[in-house]
Amino acid sequence: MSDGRPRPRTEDDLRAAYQLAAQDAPQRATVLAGVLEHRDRRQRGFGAPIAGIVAVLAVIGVLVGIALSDSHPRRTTNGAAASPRIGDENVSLHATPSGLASAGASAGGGSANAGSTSTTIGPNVSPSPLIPPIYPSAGHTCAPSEVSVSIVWSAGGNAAYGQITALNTSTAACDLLVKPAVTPLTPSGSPIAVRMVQSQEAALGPQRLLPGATARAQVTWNGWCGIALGNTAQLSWGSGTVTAASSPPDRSQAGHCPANPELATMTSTYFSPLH
Amino acid sequence: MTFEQFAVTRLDAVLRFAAVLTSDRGLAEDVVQDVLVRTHRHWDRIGSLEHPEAYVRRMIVNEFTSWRRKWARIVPSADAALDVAEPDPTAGITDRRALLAEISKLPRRQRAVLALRYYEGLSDAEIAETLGCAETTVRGYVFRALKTLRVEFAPQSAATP
Repeated sequence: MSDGRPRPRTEDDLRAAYQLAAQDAPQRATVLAGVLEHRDRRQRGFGAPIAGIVAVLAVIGVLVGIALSDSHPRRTTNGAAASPRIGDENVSLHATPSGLASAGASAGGGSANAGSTSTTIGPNVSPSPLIPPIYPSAGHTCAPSEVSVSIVWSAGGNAAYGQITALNTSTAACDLLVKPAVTPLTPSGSPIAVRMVQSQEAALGPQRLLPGATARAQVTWNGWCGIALGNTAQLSWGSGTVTAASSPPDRSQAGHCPANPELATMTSTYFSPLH
Repeated sequence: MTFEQFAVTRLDAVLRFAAVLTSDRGLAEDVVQDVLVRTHRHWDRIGSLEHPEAYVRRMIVNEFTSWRRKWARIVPSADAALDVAEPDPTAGITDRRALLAEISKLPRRQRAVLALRYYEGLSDAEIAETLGCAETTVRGYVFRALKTLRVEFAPQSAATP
């Protein structure tokens, strides 16, 4: 595979490097929690001065009312259920827990809780959760008979990178909940022993796959080392095993073989449905 | 498409692109978060576009290449851990990390062009539109970047991977 001399870099090397870099992407929940916190802070930041002005105007109104001996009560305090809005006649100052952060944290693994117990004075904004599972669980995990799966491998040094595509061929939506485990097969159909490493970071709710929709996941096989692969591979994601069409990597692109094949490992990502 | 739908269905891809673009997980998180804050504020307009993801990607590129980003943060180089003498069973990974470290030293617009071309698979015309420059400028960036990285350039090859 290699004569010891450094191989000139190609554009495919660049693509493979980028695939590697993409695996180090930030977590969606972390980013959204930051956005949520910023929005919450911004709303509170705008709300407080406005509420102060409204409060001053209200006090002036009360004083004017008293001066005019107007016995009609101008404002009421409605308790926790009240939702004061700018421009309302009945503006009351009350403590209300912010519903924004808690709404965002509900589906994001609890990462966003900024301001969840703070006292806010000002406009009450309708909660608009950022991280909820917009697509609720389909109620069952995709069965092997419901999906058609394929893997397209690309080679890069002694690693192989697989792009897994799952197509829901059934007439019902189903869920892809866990990272797929891949068992590569030799051209004769024998399984190749590779240590599958499944990191345990949380998935963001059910990944519902609609009928006719596709989802993608990536698999990285470190220490592939040019092993010949067949045209099929086995995949499982907790509901049985499916045989996937496999497009083997270009073995001529394989680099150095590891001294210890036991070090070969495989990792995969969660499926990302493409709605 | 609502912002929430975008977050659920498209954000992972956007984050992967940002990671590729910046070669720095922290910076990618920072850039995407700043962009999303602005995006969320104007989502009524952005969400009605035919390809909101492309618009967000353009915002990310602009944010990454903007002058204030250049001075706001020093991008760490990953080459400190590359000179390991012991045999490495994952030499391919090391090669890629070395290449990524070299990419991170390129001028930011060259990095943006490479990421758009070799990760996103955009054509020169699409990259030019994203960056707001001419196609010849894009090709110039590619040529110079590949020369710096010592990557063999196949002009006849398609931009898509």
